[in-house]
Amino acid sequence: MAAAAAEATTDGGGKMIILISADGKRFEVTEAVASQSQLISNMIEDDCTENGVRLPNVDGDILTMVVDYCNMHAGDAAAAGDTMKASSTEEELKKFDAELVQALENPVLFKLILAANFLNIKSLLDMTCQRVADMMSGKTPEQMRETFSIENDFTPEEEAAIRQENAWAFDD
Amino acid sequence: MDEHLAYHLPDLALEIVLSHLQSLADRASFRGVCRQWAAVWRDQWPRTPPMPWLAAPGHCVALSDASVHRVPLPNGVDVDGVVCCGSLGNWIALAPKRRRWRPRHQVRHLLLNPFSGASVQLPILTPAAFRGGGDDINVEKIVISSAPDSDGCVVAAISSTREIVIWRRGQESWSTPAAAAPSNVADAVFHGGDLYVVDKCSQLYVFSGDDGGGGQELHPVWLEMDLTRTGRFVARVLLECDGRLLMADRHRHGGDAGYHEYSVYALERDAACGDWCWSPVTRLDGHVLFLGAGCCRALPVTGRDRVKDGNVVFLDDSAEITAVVTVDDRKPLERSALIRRSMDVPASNVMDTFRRRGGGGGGRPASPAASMAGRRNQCFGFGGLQDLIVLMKSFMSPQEDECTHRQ
Repeated sequence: MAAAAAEATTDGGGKMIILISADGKRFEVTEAVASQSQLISNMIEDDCTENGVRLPNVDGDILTMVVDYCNMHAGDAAAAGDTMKASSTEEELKKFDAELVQALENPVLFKLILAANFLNIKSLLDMTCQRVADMMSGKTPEQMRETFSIENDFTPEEEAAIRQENAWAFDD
Repeated sequence: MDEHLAYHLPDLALEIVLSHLQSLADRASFRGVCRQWAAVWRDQWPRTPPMPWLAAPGHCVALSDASVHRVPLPNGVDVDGVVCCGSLGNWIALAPKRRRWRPRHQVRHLLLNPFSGASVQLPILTPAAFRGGGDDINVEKIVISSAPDSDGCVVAAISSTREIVIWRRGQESWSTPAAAAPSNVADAVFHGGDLYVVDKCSQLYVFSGDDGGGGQELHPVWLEMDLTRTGRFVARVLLECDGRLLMADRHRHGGDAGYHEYSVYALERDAACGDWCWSPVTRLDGHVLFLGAGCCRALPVTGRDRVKDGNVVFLDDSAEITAVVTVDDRKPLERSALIRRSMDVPASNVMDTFRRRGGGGGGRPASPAASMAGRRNQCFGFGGLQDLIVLMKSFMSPQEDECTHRQ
């Protein structure tokens, strides 16, 4: 039963899809890999991937990371029926994920989040957002703005009001 | 604005980021960054509540990072003179400590919101309010229906004689339930706007929250229960979890080297006969239960939270046990986890349990002392975590609802 399901997935994922980044780089991936993106998965269902999928708001270097990530995680679904296999690759996946986000500079991390959001790859979005949350931990609003180069668009009155309401959090 | 476009994250991503911030202080910072983030913070609050704080005399401890936060008390309230005996959202209920020499007429209870500084004085509680009478009556627990500074708030207090008295906002005094007041009360909780009270004989009472007058109608509900009492009954608590009413019974097994066990039941209507019954709960489905004498909470958790799904976390206020119970989430709750005795579990480990679950944890403070020296943390008068743990009385799960109203 499980073996049959796994086989079916492999068969279904055999077809190749071309992804084209904003700067014209082309990536050839299997349907199984690409369909981790809900966006592309929907396109596959609608049969509109014949001439390649153009991703006008994803740069080539970002798409490289996304494709790497999807290639690495493509085994997830196939291995789900086989618990032994799933547990043996889990460690590797964790290591891969950690290394992927750990090394990123903020602008790249944010671009990766935008790409994951646009392509609708939930696990990648979740992982990158976790990284942002980790970087925020223990920071004041001012430090958060500095870290992520965000403009303070509060009026002085608004900021004062929030500061007052949050006074309990900063009672040093 | 355009030069920041590369750093502009969509709301969905910010929502996910926020849900990963377990520390309430971090969430407060998040809110203070810019307008978009403040808006996400406001919308997201009810959906992903942060881990609760533990209320201790004069301060609170955040479960997410073991940080300590000072709780300013109103003028005239002595930190050493009050204990926390209940909570709702941002509010904690403070009861004067039991003192033999204190004249009874001075005993007033206070509801306090340490975040906003708002407070509500409850009416003087006289022994006459209780059928049991006597001079030596204390309030052991207070449950609150809604924000105490909002209209329609109802407060119920359980006395040391295990009776219940009720106060409605606007009334000048406490009242006892009109008909067939429950005695031997084990616990009470507001659930779906009604007050549920269970006694130690497992009878459940429901006080409708709708009748505006003083006379609360009582709907006793008999429950067919199959409770296998193998150990000594210690405590019974009620709590709301994911829209269901849960009852958790704690039993003690064995002698000095014994252990404690929780059995968790959910109130359900029997499909066949339509009667209410308590059915055993074997899975917590993404929730963690915090059980304390002053307050109980069930909170949704995700796989990344420091407190794990399927856990029952409790702190014993009677000084008999101070422990965090970790129920193995692969095993059914029916025969729930063994609880180690207090001396087996160094108090510092209890907080470590929360801290270590952080995953990675490289940047986290290594020692309790370090965690207290953080930018937001202030601890006064207490030597260390050992003290904090022992003094914990109640859980509060902060919600910043009233803050949002002001915006």
